[in-house]
Amino acid sequence: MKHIQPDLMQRFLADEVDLMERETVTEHLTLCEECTALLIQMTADDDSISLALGLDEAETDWVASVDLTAAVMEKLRPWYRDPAVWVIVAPLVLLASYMLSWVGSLLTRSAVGPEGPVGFAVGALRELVPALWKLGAYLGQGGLLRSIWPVLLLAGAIWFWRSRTKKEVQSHA
Amino acid sequence: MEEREAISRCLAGDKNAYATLVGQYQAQVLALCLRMTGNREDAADVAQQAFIQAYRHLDRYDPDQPFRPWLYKIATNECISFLRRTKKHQAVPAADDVLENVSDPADGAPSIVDLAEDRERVRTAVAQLPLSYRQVVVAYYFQELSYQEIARQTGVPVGTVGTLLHRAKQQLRKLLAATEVGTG
Repeated sequence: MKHIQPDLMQRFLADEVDLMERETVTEHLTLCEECTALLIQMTADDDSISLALGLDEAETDWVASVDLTAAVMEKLRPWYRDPAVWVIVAPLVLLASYMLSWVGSLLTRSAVGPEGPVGFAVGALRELVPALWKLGAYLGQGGLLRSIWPVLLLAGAIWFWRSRTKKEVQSHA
Repeated sequence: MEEREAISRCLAGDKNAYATLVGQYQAQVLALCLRMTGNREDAADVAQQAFIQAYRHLDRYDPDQPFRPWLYKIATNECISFLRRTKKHQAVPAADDVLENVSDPADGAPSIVDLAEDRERVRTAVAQLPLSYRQVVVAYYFQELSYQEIARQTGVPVGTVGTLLHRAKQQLRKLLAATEVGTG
């Protein structure tokens, strides 16, 4: 006689079998003492594990005494709503603004002249803008790059067409 | 406030509504984490983290499904991540060749009932199970979930749950027998 597989017995115990399996197992159990003994032992094992894993009194009390709500809600609060953050951030902001005003006053005092950084930046802009203007005009009138432009345009068109085709292939795939 | 209403309000941006859900499920999640981690302090930390993760991923929750299994799944995953991260879990290898050597109860080997003199011994043995086994053992024997619910929680097919449980019990018997030899 073929005995019941332990997997099937486990499912039978858990009432996780279909109608046909239930009939097969039940029928077999009426004939097979060995499998009946196994079923009894497995039931006892299951009870033993369930009992061992259940919460004891001390654990039940502990679980009931812990309140996670405040801790969880505290963690979910955005950082800018935390007063502790502002205790640190506010003095830092004040300090930074004071330092900026100090640096600003230094700059305005010493940097406005032509030798200072502001004067240098203004001078550089004066030189740079006409140079860029000249470069644009040179390219527009067909300077050195005149012969290369059609090639660049053609290469760009091919690249654009190929990338579009590739995307279409991917979307179809 | 009802569960559905609390979830809707959370999704609408009302964080305070989440406190209702935490209050409603904290005992169950704590108990689960306690069984999985085996330590109160760790259980509280992991449960807290599970609630935070659940809130952050609430937009992925399907309101047509029950909330509890979804939350349990997150809590279980948090426990497993925690145990892996902290290396507090020292499983005995669950290789099939090892399991094959485990005597079948029908062969006259002592059953779990015979070996489990006290609850603590069984708990210690469960804590030594590989995480995939421990997960289903806790889900089935402690949370009393159905195979379907365990499958949903663990991500394994329903048909595999029975196999995992059976193997877990074999491994458990072997572990208890080993401690019996050690103490005896």
